[in-house]
Amino acid sequence: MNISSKIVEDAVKSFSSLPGVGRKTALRLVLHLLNDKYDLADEMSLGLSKLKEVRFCKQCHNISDNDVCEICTSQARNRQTVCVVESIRDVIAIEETGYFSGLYHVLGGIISPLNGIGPENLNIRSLLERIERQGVEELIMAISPTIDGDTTIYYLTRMIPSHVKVSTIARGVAFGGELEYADEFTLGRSIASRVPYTVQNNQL
Amino acid sequence: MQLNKIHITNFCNLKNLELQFHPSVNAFVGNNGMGKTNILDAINYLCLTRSNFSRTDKFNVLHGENFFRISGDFTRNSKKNHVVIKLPVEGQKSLELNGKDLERMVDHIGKFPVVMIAPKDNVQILESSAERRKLIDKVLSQVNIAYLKDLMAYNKLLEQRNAMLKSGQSSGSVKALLEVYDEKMEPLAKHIFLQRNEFIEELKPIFIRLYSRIAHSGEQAEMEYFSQLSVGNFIEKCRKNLEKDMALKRSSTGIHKDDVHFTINQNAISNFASQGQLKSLVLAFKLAQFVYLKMKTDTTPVILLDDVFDKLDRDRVKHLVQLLFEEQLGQVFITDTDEQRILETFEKINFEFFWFKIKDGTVIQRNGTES
Repeated sequence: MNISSKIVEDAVKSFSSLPGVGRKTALRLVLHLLNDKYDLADEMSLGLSKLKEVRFCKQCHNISDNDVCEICTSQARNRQTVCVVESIRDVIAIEETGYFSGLYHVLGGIISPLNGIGPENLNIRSLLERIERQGVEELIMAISPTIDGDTTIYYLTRMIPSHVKVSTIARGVAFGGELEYADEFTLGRSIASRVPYTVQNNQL
Repeated sequence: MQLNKIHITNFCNLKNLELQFHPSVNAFVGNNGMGKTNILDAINYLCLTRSNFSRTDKFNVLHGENFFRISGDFTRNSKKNHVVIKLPVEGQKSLELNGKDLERMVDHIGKFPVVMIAPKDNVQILESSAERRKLIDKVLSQVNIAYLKDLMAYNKLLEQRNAMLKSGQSSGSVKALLEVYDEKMEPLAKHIFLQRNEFIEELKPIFIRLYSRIAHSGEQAEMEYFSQLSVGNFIEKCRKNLEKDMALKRSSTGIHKDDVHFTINQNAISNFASQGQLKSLVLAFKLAQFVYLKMKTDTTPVILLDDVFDKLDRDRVKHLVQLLFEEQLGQVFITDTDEQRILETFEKINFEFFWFKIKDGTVIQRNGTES
């Protein structure tokens, strides 16, 4: 690519170092900013330089502007229920559903010694402290259903006090999915862990 | 079950080879290093999606080429099947059954049962318990897909457990994690143990009978299965060995320590067996596996005999061939460097067969006519 401006060239290089952005897309974005009449570039550069100020919540390890994140400080949330997830992205995904009003705890991965991740490399100790301090009554394990994910759930369950209720997110047939397309393992599990049907909680 | 036709491209030293097979016996003759064994291994690939010689797939691509492809036409319970296996050097191995891509290789195992007997088996049976377990797993996986899945899950957990031990950490949380692995491995280990135990018990009488037929000398061969799981509680043993495991940095308890011991006239084979005795023992063990597979699946497996007559005296060769005949082997593929020996042996018992003379990866002669 032959660009007559070194400044534009550098901007294209920066954009294309982002995941999912190639040089052509980068050029299109830079040219857009160049032609923009509403100070978008200034707004963006201000926002980007502020990214450095983002911290991790001391309590749940989610991203936050303050020491403790907005979810953890919210008075409207149920403090007795904590949803345990692998990563920050999972928090965002569950928040999007609008179905959960408890707090979160981000582990920062799942146990896999082969990848150099043992229990001590995850935010497990802080979870155990939280359970004590906060009087947590239920943990919801929202962790991938793989061998390693299962090991992590099993490990956590052994470590936490027995009075804390542990549940895992349901695994089974996708919402709106047709039974004949579900694989046999998923379908088998859905039958084994079927749920009671009531008119109130099953209306679409 | 029968393999009617094979087409091999860029596999080991076989550039492009197309062969029609006889429903009973197919013999490949030729000097060492000409590609006889590679033909058998190509058949093994079609049946088990991998090499019998546990080489990495891409090492089987003809030097200088960037893929190999093997296709075969099978008849199984009078239904025709077309299997294609492809491996690009840069890319994933893929398998096609009757024009349809198979998502998981494991779904193919057991559809076209096969037993291969190769000179390397002699070494394997003596060498290590890991190799002996492999010989058992290869058969059990073909009759019981749940066994293979359990074994794969068990091995994954074991790998993680060993990785944790290797890290050398010894805090309370690491110990707790090791116990978690033990508890998750227990049900899998139990299931695998029961399957192996039942298998050896069923195989034993067949093996003893076949050995005495091949050896023909009144020698008595025996086999015995050993597993830590046969007595006591798995979890308790793991707990007891935890400190030891942490010092050794590997897992000392489990079905990955299972073994099979062989004896001839109550002497362990590793100590005294002659080359010929060992060969007879391996043959009996492998043929017993064949009989077992035939019993457990609804079809007769294909049998691949690589250089089996080597190191056997004339009598043993004769008994072996008679035995092959009596056990109704179905379709046999056999290689030999001694052209005369193999042709005479089969002609003597009036066995109809195809033979192929192989040189530098191509057929230079077949059933007496130039090709």
